[in-house]
Amino acid sequence: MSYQKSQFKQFQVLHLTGEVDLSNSAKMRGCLLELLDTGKNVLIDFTNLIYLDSSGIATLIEALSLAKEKQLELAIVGANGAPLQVLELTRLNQVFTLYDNFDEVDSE
Amino acid sequence: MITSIKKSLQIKVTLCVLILALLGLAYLAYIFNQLEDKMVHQFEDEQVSFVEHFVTKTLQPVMLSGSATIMPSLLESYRNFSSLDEIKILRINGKEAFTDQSTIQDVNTRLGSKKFTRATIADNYSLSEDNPLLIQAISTGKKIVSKSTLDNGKQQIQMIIPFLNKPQCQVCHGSDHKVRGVMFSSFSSNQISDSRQGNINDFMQYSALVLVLLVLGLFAFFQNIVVGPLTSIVKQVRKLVAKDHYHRRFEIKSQDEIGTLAEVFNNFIAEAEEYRTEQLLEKERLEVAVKEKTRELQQKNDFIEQDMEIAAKVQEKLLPETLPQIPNIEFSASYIPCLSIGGDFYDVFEIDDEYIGLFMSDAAGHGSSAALIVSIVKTLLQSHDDIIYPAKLVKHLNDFMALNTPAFSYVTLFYGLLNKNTGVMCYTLAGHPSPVIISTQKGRAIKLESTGGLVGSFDFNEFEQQEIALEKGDRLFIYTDGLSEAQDLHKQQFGIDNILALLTRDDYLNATDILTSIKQSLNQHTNNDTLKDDIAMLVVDFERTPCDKYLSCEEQSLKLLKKIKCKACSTELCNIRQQLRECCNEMKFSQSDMDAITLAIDEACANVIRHAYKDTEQGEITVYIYIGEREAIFIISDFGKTADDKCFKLQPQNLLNPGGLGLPLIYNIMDSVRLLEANEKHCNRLELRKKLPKEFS
Repeated sequence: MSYQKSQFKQFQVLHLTGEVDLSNSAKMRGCLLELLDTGKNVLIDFTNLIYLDSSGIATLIEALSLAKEKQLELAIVGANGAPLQVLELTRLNQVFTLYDNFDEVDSE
Repeated sequence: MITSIKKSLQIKVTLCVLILALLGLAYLAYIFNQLEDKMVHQFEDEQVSFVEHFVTKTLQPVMLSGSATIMPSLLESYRNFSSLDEIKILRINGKEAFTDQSTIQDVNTRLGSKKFTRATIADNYSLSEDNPLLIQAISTGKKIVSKSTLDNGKQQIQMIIPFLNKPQCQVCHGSDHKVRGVMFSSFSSNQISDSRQGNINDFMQYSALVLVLLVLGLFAFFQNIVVGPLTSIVKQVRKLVAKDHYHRRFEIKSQDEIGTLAEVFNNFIAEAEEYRTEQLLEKERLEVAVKEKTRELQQKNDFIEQDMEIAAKVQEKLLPETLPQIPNIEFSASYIPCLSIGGDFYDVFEIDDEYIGLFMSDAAGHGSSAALIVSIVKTLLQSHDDIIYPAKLVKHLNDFMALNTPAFSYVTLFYGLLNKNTGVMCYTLAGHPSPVIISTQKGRAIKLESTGGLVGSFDFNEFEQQEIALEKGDRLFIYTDGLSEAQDLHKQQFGIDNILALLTRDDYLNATDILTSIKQSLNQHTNNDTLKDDIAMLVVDFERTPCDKYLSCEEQSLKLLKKIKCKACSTELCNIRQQLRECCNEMKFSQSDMDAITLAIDEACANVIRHAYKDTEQGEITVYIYIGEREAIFIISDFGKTADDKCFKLQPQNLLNPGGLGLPLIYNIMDSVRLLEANEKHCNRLELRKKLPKEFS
């Protein structure tokens, strides 16, 4: 898993690439918490993410509850394939705000 | 104390001087005592003669000239003038003269106008009549001087001087020459005058002072003449020895024995300096030579070490980094180096879909030459066309080495060509220890037969090949003589029997476990001593997988599609997923099912890493993928902490409990989740089943 950070409108964006599993979910967690600490809304870009396991899901849940606490928005954009399937299996697609792509974010 | 006195001349001299001082003081005290006595005697004599003189020259003439009337006043004035305790004139009856009224009147009458007055003090004086001295003086008419000691310890001197009647004094005492009275006087010897006492004291003080000065002078003299120079010599000798100050000389201050001693020392030091200078020069010469030699040796040693290091690296590089992963065959190999570089080499390589090459050799000698031979062997082995004909390959190797390397360079080797599907192995065993097959089905050990001699010694050597079939559950063990010939303290070899006993044991988890066990046993045998020869070992388990013996009958009849074995480490999960995806593809699962199955098994493996092995990264996970009649069966096995059904009981899903998400996912995805019964080896086995897609027939 590798990541990049960028800015999109009022969002801090975290672009994830590759696979998130037990070996690297801690890295993703650190990154997400750091972004939330800035006090801005956060978008997680799943476009190039091909795998997400339960430890990654747990991190997302933790980040979401933190965001709610801080009254910030945390949304996922471009989820597809296996990661989207995991979100569906865990019914987190109903909990998280999911955007298909950045255009959709823009139009919101 | 005694020792320090013995060691220090200074203390000795000080003691001598002190003893001298004490003796002097004692002598001085004695002298003073004598002097005092003498002075007392002199004083006494003076007093006596003075009183005698007073009596004979003054009193007697006065008395005789008829002027007795002035006697009392004369005595009075004399008493005051002299230091006498008492002085009085006694009659022969013992009564004091000139004291009673009648006598005074009588005298006055006889003397006419001259009035005689009574002495005021006379009443108090009395002398017993029976005073023997008085009687003696009166009877003999001679003076008596006597000494007596008073109660207070003082000496008292009594003096009795008789008055003789003279014819001239007929007026009062008649005409005979008899004694008419005595002069009695007494004084104490302590009445020596204060001034005299003071003189004595002063004298004593001066004498003591002089003595002290004398003693100090004596001490200084000894210090200066003997102790000082000697101490200085000792100090300088010490400095000379400690600091190599051989150029120093003693200052010669005197012409006496100490001066001579210093001179002798100076001469000795001069000689020593000369000798030492020579020695230093010699030492310097030697040091330079030794340094030069050491440098040369160091250079040579560095060169050799560098050479050895390179050779060791070359040899290490030649050994395979990984062994092939083949579903039904498990390989494990180990190489134990010895101090110098050995010539052992092994390799396992896949030739094609059917054949696997198993190679092990032991080159003669050690060091870089052995490493060089190994590299020749390896190069020839992998580049040769005859790789599938063991005897031919070995013959080529032999001829090449016989032609291109010295006659003493040779190797012993085993080369086997194993058909991984049938288990038939064609091999050549040339001068090498016989590999052993432990057959579970036959329940015995089989030693492979030799098919040739040493490789590389002569070009006329010929080699044959043999065939043997490995059966399901067979274990092949190939090794070099470093193992069987490893010696203990009593030169006893480890031996093939030991090896066989270890190999036939039935409690190994996997091939690596066997090698670990052999190494432990070997360490015990050699007492962890350094090995004299290196050791190479290779285990080939044919269709005998670690948990195979724990598979159920059903499992044994199933077709094993893949066995994924890896370390229980989270970084290995990526590799497991990749292999799982390939298997799912083979079983024609849809993309979505493939992702889901991969996720489920990844979660199961993650649980093994986190819970069974507690993130220690110690241990292994094995995933068996079987194809059943209508299901794909995945068995995840580990040797971590024993799991029970409770671990796999599905709890109500709690989104805020991050650790509990994996199991619901597994249950959600798979058709069946079952923890297989635990066995005596505590091998945890989780069975997951998923219905095969219709497309897969």
